[in-house]
Amino acid sequence: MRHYDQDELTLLYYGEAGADGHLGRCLECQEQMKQLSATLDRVREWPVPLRPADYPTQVWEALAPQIGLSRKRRAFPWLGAGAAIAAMLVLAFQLGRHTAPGPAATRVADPSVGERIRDAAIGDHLEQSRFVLAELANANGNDAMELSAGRRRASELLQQNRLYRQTAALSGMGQVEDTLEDLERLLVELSHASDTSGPQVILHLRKRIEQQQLLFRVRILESQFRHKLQSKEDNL
Amino acid sequence: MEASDQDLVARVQSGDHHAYRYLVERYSRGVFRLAYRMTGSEQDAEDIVQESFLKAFRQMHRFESRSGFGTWLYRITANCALDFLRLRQRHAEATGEMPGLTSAEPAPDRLTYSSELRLGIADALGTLSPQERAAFVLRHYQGCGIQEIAGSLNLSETAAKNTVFRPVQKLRRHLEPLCATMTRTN
Repeated sequence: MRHYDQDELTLLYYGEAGADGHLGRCLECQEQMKQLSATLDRVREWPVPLRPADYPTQVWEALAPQIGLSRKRRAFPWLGAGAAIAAMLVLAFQLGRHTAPGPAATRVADPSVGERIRDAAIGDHLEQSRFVLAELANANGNDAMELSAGRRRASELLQQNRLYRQTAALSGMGQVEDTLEDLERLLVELSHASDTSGPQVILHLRKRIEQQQLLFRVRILESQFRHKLQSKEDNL
Repeated sequence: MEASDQDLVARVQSGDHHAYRYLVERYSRGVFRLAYRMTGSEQDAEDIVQESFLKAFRQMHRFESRSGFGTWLYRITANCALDFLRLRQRHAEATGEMPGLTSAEPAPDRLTYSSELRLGIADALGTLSPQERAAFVLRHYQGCGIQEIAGSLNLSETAAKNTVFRPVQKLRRHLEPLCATMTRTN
C-alpha cells in the first residue's frame, strides 16, 4: 500500500486534489494529515494588526494627490504653509549648533526639540519625494500632463532638498546625505525636462530610479525617520 | 444600491477618477492584510498599499473584466510586495544586514494569541524566500489556486506547486514541535 507523501497531503489540504479513498482507510496517512492540518490551521491564525475605522479614507486621502485629485492632509501642516521656510529654519538650527555658542539664555533649551523638528521635516520631505518617485516609476511615459505635474512638484521639492542635504551633512548623517544627493540630481533633471522630450525623460528617470534603488532607499529612510520620531515622542 | 466593481471600473476607465475612491475604500483593508502578511511590517505594508493602488490606477486601461477587479488588484499587490522583498533582500546582502523578513512588530490587538506561536510563525515565515512567501501567502491566506499563483508570479504550474510545497515543509519543520507542545499544554 502506497502512502500519501507530504506534497500530496498538502494538495489535499488545500482542496487541489481529490481524495481517492486511501485517506479514509489508512490510519498512518490520517495521522499525517491531522498534524499537517493542525500546523497550517495555526498559521492561518497569524494576526494582522487592526487598522483604524477610517483607514479606507486615510488610504484614499494619501492616494488622491498622486492621481491628480485633491491634496491630502499633511502629517505636519506647518510644513504645507511654507516648506521652504521650515527647511531654512531646520538648517539654521543645525548651523547654530556648529558655530560658537551664544549666551545661555538665547540657546535652545532642549536640543532634542530641534532634532525632533529636523527629523519631522526631513521625514515629511522624504514622504513627498517618495510620492513623486512612485508616480514617475508608474508613469506611462507618454502623458504630457504627468510630466508637467511631476516637473512642478520636483521644482517645489528641489529647494527643500538642497537645504535638508546640507542639514544632513552638518549632522553627520552620511546615508541621508547620499540619498538626498541622488534625489537632488533626479529632481533637477525632472524639473528641467521639456514637454517635447517627455517620454524619453520619463524612461530615463525611471531607469535611474531603478538602478539607484532610489525609491526603495527613500522609503527605508522615511520609515527610519518615522520610527525615530515615534520613539522620541514615546520617551517624552 | 452600492455600485458594483465592474461599474466603478468602467467609470474610472471613462475618465471619472473620483469613482476610484470607492474601489480604494472597498479594498484597502484586504490589500493591507495581504501586504502585511507578505512583509511582516506595518510600515512596509502601508507603503505597498499606496504603491499597489497607484499602480492599479495607472494600469486601469489595461484591465479587462475576465477576472474580478479584486483578484487583479491582489495580484498587483503581491507583485509589489515581492519586488519590495527582493530589493530588501538584495539591500541586506549588500550591507550585511539581516534580511528582516520576519515580523518584529508586536500585535497588541491580539493578546489572546500565543506570543510564542506568533514569533514562531514569524520566524518560520522569515526563512522563506520572497517568492516562496508570496506563493504561500497567496495560497494559504488569499485562497488562490495553483493555476492562479502560477499566473500571478509568472511561473509554470509545476514550479508554482513546488513554490507552495517548500514553505509548507519549512513551516512544518519549524512549527510542529511548538504546536505539539501547545497541544500537550492545552
